[in-house]
Amino acid sequence: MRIKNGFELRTICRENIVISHGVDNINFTKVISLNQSAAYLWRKIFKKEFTIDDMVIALCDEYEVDEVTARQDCANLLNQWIEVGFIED
Amino acid sequence: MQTLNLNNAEFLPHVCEFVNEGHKVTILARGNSMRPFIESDRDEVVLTRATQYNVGDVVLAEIQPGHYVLHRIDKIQNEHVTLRGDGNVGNTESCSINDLRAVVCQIKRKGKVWNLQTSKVWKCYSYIWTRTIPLRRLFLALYRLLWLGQIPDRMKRLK
Repeated sequence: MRIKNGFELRTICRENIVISHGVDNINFTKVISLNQSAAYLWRKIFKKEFTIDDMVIALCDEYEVDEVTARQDCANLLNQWIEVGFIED
Repeated sequence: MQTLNLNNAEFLPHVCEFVNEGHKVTILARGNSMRPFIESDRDEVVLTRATQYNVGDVVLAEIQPGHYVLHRIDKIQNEHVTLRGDGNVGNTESCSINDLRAVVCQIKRKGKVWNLQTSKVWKCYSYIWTRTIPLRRLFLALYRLLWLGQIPDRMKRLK
Protein backbone atom coordinates (compact mmCIF):
# COMPACT_ATOMS: atom_id res chain seq x y z
CA MET A 1 0.00 0.00 0.00
CA ARG A 2 0.99 3.65 -0.30
CA ILE A 3 -0.19 7.17 0.47
CA LYS A 4 -2.43 8.38 -2.34
CA ASN A 5 -1.23 11.08 -4.67
CA GLY A 6 -2.70 14.47 -3.84
CA PHE A 7 -2.03 14.38 -0.09
CA GLU A 8 0.82 16.35 1.36
CA LEU A 9 2.05 16.96 4.91
CA ARG A 10 2.93 20.56 5.71
CA THR A 11 3.93 22.25 8.93
CA ILE A 12 1.69 25.27 9.36
CA CYS A 13 1.66 27.26 12.60
CA ARG A 14 3.65 24.47 14.28
CA GLU A 15 0.93 21.95 13.40
CA ASN A 16 1.54 18.97 11.11
CA ILE A 17 -1.35 19.29 8.69
CA VAL A 18 -2.28 16.95 5.86
CA ILE A 19 -3.67 18.96 3.00
CA SER A 20 -5.45 17.64 -0.03
CA HIS A 21 -4.63 19.09 -3.42
CA GLY A 22 -8.06 18.06 -4.83
CA VAL A 23 -8.29 19.08 -8.45
CA ASP A 24 -7.06 22.56 -7.73
CA ASN A 25 -8.79 23.29 -4.46
CA ILE A 26 -7.23 23.19 -1.01
CA ASN A 27 -9.83 23.17 1.72
CA PHE A 28 -8.54 24.47 5.05
CA THR A 29 -11.92 24.08 6.72
CA LYS A 30 -11.42 20.31 6.78
CA VAL A 31 -7.84 19.39 7.53
CA ILE A 32 -6.31 16.60 9.56
CA SER A 33 -3.44 17.33 11.87
CA LEU A 34 -0.96 14.67 12.93
CA ASN A 35 0.98 14.41 16.18
CA GLN A 36 4.77 14.22 16.10
CA SER A 37 5.05 10.41 15.86
CA ALA A 38 2.33 10.13 13.20
CA ALA A 39 4.02 12.90 11.19
CA TYR A 40 7.34 11.08 11.52
CA LEU A 41 5.78 7.87 10.16
CA TRP A 42 4.10 9.80 7.32
CA ARG A 43 7.46 11.20 6.22
CA LYS A 44 9.06 7.76 6.42
CA ILE A 45 6.53 6.11 4.12
CA PHE A 46 5.61 9.04 1.87
CA LYS A 47 5.88 8.21 -1.84
CA LYS A 48 6.90 4.61 -1.03
CA GLU A 49 5.22 1.21 -1.09
CA PHE A 50 5.01 0.13 2.54
CA THR A 51 3.61 -2.50 4.89
CA ILE A 52 2.66 -2.24 8.55
CA ASP A 53 6.00 -3.95 9.33
CA ASP A 54 7.85 -0.98 7.77
CA MET A 55 5.89 1.36 10.04
CA VAL A 56 6.60 -0.73 13.14
CA ILE A 57 10.35 -0.86 12.36
CA ALA A 58 10.46 2.90 11.75
CA LEU A 59 8.60 3.62 14.99
CA CYS A 60 10.81 1.31 17.07
CA ASP A 61 13.94 2.86 15.49
CA GLU A 62 12.91 6.37 16.51
CA TYR A 63 11.00 5.93 19.76
CA GLU A 64 11.59 3.86 22.88
CA VAL A 65 8.64 1.53 22.45
CA ASP A 66 8.27 -2.24 22.44
CA GLU A 67 7.27 -3.99 19.25
CA VAL A 68 3.83 -5.13 20.47
CA THR A 69 2.80 -1.60 21.49
CA ALA A 70 4.30 -0.15 18.31
CA ARG A 71 2.36 -2.62 16.17
CA GLN A 72 -0.87 -1.81 17.96
CA ASP A 73 -0.30 1.95 17.58
CA CYS A 74 0.64 1.59 13.89
CA ALA A 75 -2.44 -0.56 13.22
CA ASN A 76 -4.69 2.05 14.85
CA LEU A 77 -3.05 4.86 12.91
CA LEU A 78 -3.22 2.96 9.64
CA ASN A 79 -6.91 2.21 10.17
CA GLN A 80 -7.59 5.90 10.71
CA TRP A 81 -5.66 6.82 7.56
CA ILE A 82 -7.54 4.18 5.55
CA GLU A 83 -10.84 5.45 6.95
CA VAL A 84 -10.18 9.05 5.88
CA GLY A 85 -8.96 7.89 2.47
CA PHE A 86 -5.23 8.64 2.63
CA ILE A 87 -4.15 5.11 1.66
CA GLU A 88 -4.45 3.05 -1.52
CA ASP A 89 -3.42 -0.55 -2.21
CA MET B 1 -12.44 15.63 15.60
CA GLN B 2 -11.14 18.91 16.95
CA THR B 3 -10.92 22.48 15.74
CA LEU B 4 -7.50 23.95 15.13
CA ASN B 5 -7.27 27.64 15.86
CA LEU B 6 -4.47 28.93 13.68
CA ASN B 7 -2.98 32.36 14.11
CA ASN B 8 -3.86 34.52 11.08
CA ALA B 9 -0.44 36.15 10.83
CA GLU B 10 1.18 32.71 10.56
CA PHE B 11 -1.57 30.87 8.70
CA LEU B 12 -2.55 33.34 5.98
CA PRO B 13 0.93 33.60 4.40
CA HIS B 14 0.61 29.85 3.66
CA VAL B 15 -2.82 30.48 2.13
CA CYS B 16 -1.32 33.25 -0.03
CA GLU B 17 1.48 30.90 -1.10
CA PHE B 18 -1.03 28.26 -2.25
CA VAL B 19 -3.07 30.91 -4.08
CA ASN B 20 0.10 32.10 -5.81
CA GLU B 21 0.82 28.53 -6.89
CA GLY B 22 -2.53 28.61 -8.70
CA HIS B 23 -4.71 26.75 -6.18
CA LYS B 24 -8.12 27.79 -5.03
CA VAL B 25 -8.09 27.84 -1.24
CA THR B 26 -11.12 27.52 1.02
CA ILE B 27 -10.97 29.06 4.48
CA LEU B 28 -13.51 29.71 7.21
CA ALA B 29 -14.53 33.36 7.55
CA ARG B 30 -13.61 34.92 10.89
CA GLY B 31 -14.86 38.22 12.30
CA ASN B 32 -17.99 40.29 11.78
CA SER B 33 -16.70 42.92 9.38
CA MET B 34 -18.33 41.36 6.30
CA ARG B 35 -21.79 41.11 7.77
CA PRO B 36 -24.55 40.70 6.82
CA PHE B 37 -23.63 38.38 3.92
CA ILE B 38 -20.58 36.63 5.38
CA GLU B 39 -21.04 35.42 8.95
CA SER B 40 -18.08 34.55 11.17
CA ASP B 41 -17.33 30.86 11.89
CA ARG B 42 -20.25 29.77 9.69
CA ASP B 43 -19.47 30.75 6.13
CA GLU B 44 -16.53 29.68 3.98
CA VAL B 45 -14.80 31.73 1.32
CA VAL B 46 -12.86 30.41 -1.66
CA LEU B 47 -9.82 32.48 -2.58
CA THR B 48 -8.12 32.54 -5.94
CA ARG B 49 -5.41 34.46 -7.75
CA ALA B 50 -6.55 37.54 -9.62
CA THR B 51 -5.04 39.08 -12.72
CA GLN B 52 -6.96 42.26 -12.17
CA TYR B 53 -8.83 43.79 -9.23
CA ASN B 54 -12.01 45.83 -9.53
CA VAL B 55 -14.09 48.01 -7.24
CA GLY B 56 -16.62 45.76 -5.49
CA ASP B 57 -14.34 42.70 -5.36
CA VAL B 58 -13.96 41.04 -1.96
CA VAL B 59 -10.25 40.56 -1.45
CA LEU B 60 -7.70 39.28 1.03
CA ALA B 61 -5.28 42.13 1.63
CA GLU B 62 -2.15 42.42 3.77
CA ILE B 63 -2.68 45.99 4.93
CA GLN B 64 0.37 45.91 7.20
CA PRO B 65 3.05 43.23 7.44
CA GLY B 66 1.30 40.21 8.96
CA HIS B 67 -2.07 41.99 9.29
CA TYR B 68 -4.68 40.67 6.88
CA VAL B 69 -8.27 41.71 6.20
CA LEU B 70 -10.94 40.18 3.99
CA HIS B 71 -12.84 43.24 2.80
CA ARG B 72 -14.46 44.75 -0.27
CA ILE B 73 -12.61 47.16 -2.55
CA ASP B 74 -14.24 50.55 -2.11
CA LYS B 75 -12.00 52.64 -4.38
CA ILE B 76 -8.96 52.21 -6.61
CA GLN B 77 -6.97 55.32 -7.45
CA ASN B 78 -3.86 54.48 -9.44
CA GLU B 79 -1.98 52.06 -7.14
CA HIS B 80 -3.85 53.16 -4.03
CA VAL B 81 -6.71 50.96 -2.81
CA THR B 82 -9.35 51.75 -0.19
CA LEU B 83 -11.07 48.79 1.45
CA ARG B 84 -14.21 48.66 3.53
CA GLY B 85 -15.88 45.70 5.20
CA ASP B 86 -19.57 45.30 4.42
CA GLY B 87 -20.22 45.33 8.15
CA ASN B 88 -18.25 48.54 8.70
CA VAL B 89 -19.68 52.02 8.44
CA GLY B 90 -16.89 54.57 8.87
CA ASN B 91 -13.84 52.32 9.07
CA THR B 92 -11.83 51.93 5.90
CA GLU B 93 -8.35 50.58 5.26
CA SER B 94 -5.79 51.75 2.75
CA CYS B 95 -3.14 49.76 1.00
CA SER B 96 -1.30 49.45 -2.27
CA ILE B 97 -2.68 47.29 -5.07
CA ASN B 98 0.44 45.15 -4.55
CA ASP B 99 -0.82 44.32 -1.04
CA LEU B 100 -3.87 42.53 -2.45
CA ARG B 101 -3.16 38.81 -2.08
CA ALA B 102 -6.28 37.05 -3.41
CA VAL B 103 -9.84 37.61 -4.52
CA VAL B 104 -12.89 35.76 -3.21
CA CYS B 105 -14.48 33.82 -6.07
CA GLN B 106 -17.03 31.81 -4.09
CA ILE B 107 -18.81 32.01 -0.79
CA LYS B 108 -20.27 28.92 0.86
CA ARG B 109 -23.06 30.42 2.92
CA LYS B 110 -25.37 28.25 5.03
CA GLY B 111 -24.35 25.30 2.84
CA LYS B 112 -25.18 27.06 -0.43
CA VAL B 113 -22.45 28.01 -2.89
CA TRP B 114 -22.48 31.52 -4.33
CA ASN B 115 -20.26 32.09 -7.34
CA LEU B 116 -19.43 35.77 -7.12
CA GLN B 117 -18.59 36.15 -10.80
CA THR B 118 -21.95 34.88 -12.02
CA SER B 119 -24.47 35.12 -9.18
CA LYS B 120 -27.09 37.75 -9.94
CA VAL B 121 -28.20 37.72 -6.31
CA TRP B 122 -24.66 38.54 -5.18
CA LYS B 123 -24.32 41.31 -7.77
CA CYS B 124 -27.69 42.76 -6.80
CA TYR B 125 -26.82 42.55 -3.09
CA SER B 126 -23.43 44.17 -3.75
CA TYR B 127 -24.97 46.98 -5.80
CA ILE B 128 -27.52 47.82 -3.13
CA TRP B 129 -25.38 47.26 -0.03
CA THR B 130 -22.46 49.38 -1.22
CA ARG B 131 -24.88 52.29 -1.63
CA THR B 132 -26.35 52.06 1.86
CA ILE B 133 -23.49 53.74 3.70
CA PRO B 134 -25.57 56.59 5.20
CA LEU B 135 -28.12 54.09 6.54
CA ARG B 136 -25.81 51.12 7.00
CA ARG B 137 -25.49 51.53 10.77
CA LEU B 138 -29.29 51.28 11.06
CA PHE B 139 -29.50 48.22 8.75
CA LEU B 140 -26.72 46.48 10.66
CA ALA B 141 -28.42 47.20 13.98
CA LEU B 142 -31.69 45.76 12.63
CA TYR B 143 -29.81 42.73 11.27
CA ARG B 144 -28.23 42.07 14.67
CA LEU B 145 -31.52 42.57 16.48
CA LEU B 146 -33.93 40.75 14.16
CA TRP B 147 -31.79 38.03 12.55
CA LEU B 148 -29.25 37.33 15.26
CA GLY B 149 -31.36 38.26 18.29
CA GLN B 150 -28.55 40.35 19.74
CA ILE B 151 -30.00 43.06 21.95
CA PRO B 152 -27.77 46.14 22.22
CA ASP B 153 -26.44 46.91 25.73
CA ARG B 154 -28.19 50.29 25.74
CA MET B 155 -31.59 48.62 25.19
CA LYS B 156 -30.83 45.99 27.85
CA ARG B 157 -30.27 48.80 30.35
CA LEU B 158 -33.69 50.26 29.48
CA LYS B 159 -35.44 47.01 30.35
